[in-house]
Amino acid sequence: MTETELASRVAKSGDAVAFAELVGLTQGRVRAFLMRLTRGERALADDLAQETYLEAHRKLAQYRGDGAFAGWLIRIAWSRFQMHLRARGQAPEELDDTLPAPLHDPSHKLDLERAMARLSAPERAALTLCYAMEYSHAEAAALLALPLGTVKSHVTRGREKLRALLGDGKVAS
Amino acid sequence: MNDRDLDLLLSQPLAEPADDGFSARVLARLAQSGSRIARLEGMAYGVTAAVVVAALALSNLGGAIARVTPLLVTSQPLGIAVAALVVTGAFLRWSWAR
Repeated sequence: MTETELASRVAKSGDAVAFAELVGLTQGRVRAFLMRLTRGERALADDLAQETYLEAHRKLAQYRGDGAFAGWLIRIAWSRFQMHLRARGQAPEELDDTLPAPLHDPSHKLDLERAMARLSAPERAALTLCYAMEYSHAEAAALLALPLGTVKSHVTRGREKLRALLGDGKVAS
Repeated sequence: MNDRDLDLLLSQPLAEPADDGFSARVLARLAQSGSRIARLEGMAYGVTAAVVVAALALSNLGGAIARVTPLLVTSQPLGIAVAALVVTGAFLRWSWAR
């Protein structure tokens, strides 16, 4: 059974087994996305992921099945993350220059995570959705509830900053 | 780092964490919040019914409405109580779904 079919089954009959299956099928993507947003804070990412699923369960009747269920969850996860930032009194656009610069790991994998952590939240989200999660710019714009042009500029700016960070460890704000 | 290398690096799929009991924790929280909502709903119904009955008994609201609508004289207090409960229930469900 597909994620969309499971979701419509939960929405119609509140089938707890189907919901458990949906959580199992999608949790990896949702938690990985939130890990990237929270700069690797696993406990926080998991709290936000749990809230995401609770909200999704409440709002399942609103899911129209017109897109991938995981995408719908990502949209909720992003909105939960923004609520978390607001509760902390942080603006999503804020950059964090207090974090250490990349270490220049030969595989670049660790470097990427460190460099990503220094981007603003919308830049991290846009780059993650458009590259690692293979959404188009238009799909990412819909998931982040941002205009297409804004997503494109987050991607462009984010890439420029990453290139600078991965090159010499410095980035112009 | 050139554009191609950066693209390759960015395009690496995210490392998805293993479930490690995460799904079970979500389902447990769901069950917990479901029973909390049911308790709140029960309390809200009880309080609403008590307030309506008290208001109808203490004020002469029932009589006033009955004079205006003589046909509803026998069922009117019950009707008001039921309507209040329906409105309370609808509001609770609406606010829970938001």
